[in-house]
Amino acid sequence: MKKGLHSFLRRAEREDLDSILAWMEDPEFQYFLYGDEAQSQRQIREKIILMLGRTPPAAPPSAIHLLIDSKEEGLLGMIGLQNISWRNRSCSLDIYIGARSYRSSILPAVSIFRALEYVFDELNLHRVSSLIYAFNERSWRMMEKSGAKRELVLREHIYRNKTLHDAYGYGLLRHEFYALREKLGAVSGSISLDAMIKAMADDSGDTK
Amino acid sequence: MKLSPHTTVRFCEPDDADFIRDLYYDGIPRAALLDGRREPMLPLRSEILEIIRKSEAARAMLFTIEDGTGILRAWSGLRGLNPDARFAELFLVFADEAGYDSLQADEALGYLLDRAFFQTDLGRVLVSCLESEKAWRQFLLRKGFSSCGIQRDIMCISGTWTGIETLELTAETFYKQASQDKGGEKS
Repeated sequence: MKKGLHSFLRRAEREDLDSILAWMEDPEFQYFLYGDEAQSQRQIREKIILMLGRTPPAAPPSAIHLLIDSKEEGLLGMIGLQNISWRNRSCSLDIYIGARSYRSSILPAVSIFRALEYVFDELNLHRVSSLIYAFNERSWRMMEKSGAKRELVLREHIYRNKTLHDAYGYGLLRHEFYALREKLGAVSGSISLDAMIKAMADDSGDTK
Repeated sequence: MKLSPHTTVRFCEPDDADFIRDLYYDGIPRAALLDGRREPMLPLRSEILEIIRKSEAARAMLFTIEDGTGILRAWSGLRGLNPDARFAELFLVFADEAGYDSLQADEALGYLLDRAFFQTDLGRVLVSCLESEKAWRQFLLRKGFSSCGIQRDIMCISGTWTGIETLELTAETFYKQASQDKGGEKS
């Protein structure tokens, strides 16, 4: 089986805090995502605690954090669905793969595909946005393979390593994702949320 | 600060809260008045007062534009100042769309750009614009702004999806225009 295919998505729990904190300490997390180098460990910790527990159970959440987990190797990464607007049926998406050896595997693509199925099929959203730094080529290429269109080019928008870099704004509409899924045909079936849920059910049957 | 007999620009004061609240409540969708999720807001007067009070700490400069008779015409500012990447978001909201064709609009924008590029040393300013804000967009294009792209279907207005365009003006373009204007004045 391809590396990373045997993984699943689940909601983040408070018990996941230590793993997520360890990822956030990784300089690459701050470099590629939204971290500010000047943040102290305490500030990062407070931010994550807030992130994981900020929504009262009955209220529609404005953010959902999904962890990429695997039975064999534990937590592999995280997908953030943020700025969820239930009015405009939109959200932004970012992904972080904590397990370095998985970064160039099929794992990120499978995880994004499943997260998009969750966003469009389950949450019934209409649009997903993603702001990606131009130097993070692996990420924006993956968004393009997911069917997203580069809608914005923000020049010299982000300061990293004493240089200003461009940022790209991507947008993916529901019908565009569905068209891509149809085009992928049987391949999409094997990596879908349904397939993931079935595999999880089979796994738990094996362990009973 | 009196820019001309027609236009005065000054920092927002607590007394402006009612005027600003009316801009949020008048039913005209404006990109500058949406929240981070691109949803319309209906702020309380007390919340607007809080925004005005905390504007400095929030890296924002908020201004009110008055006409020659002292009537409030627009709310404007530079916010989301990013000192590392040297950019900020600029906004200028007229109560009346015809305001974008007025001398006040020219003078107020000139003041904001002067503040952004000469006084704050920014490299660019960004502006958001809904597809329905035609007068605002035309005004920006006339002033040398260029499009960074449109985020499609990002907001639903009266059951119809609409996009939001981001436009930018760089310091380079601004200085070039300023020197051309000076050259024009001399000749």
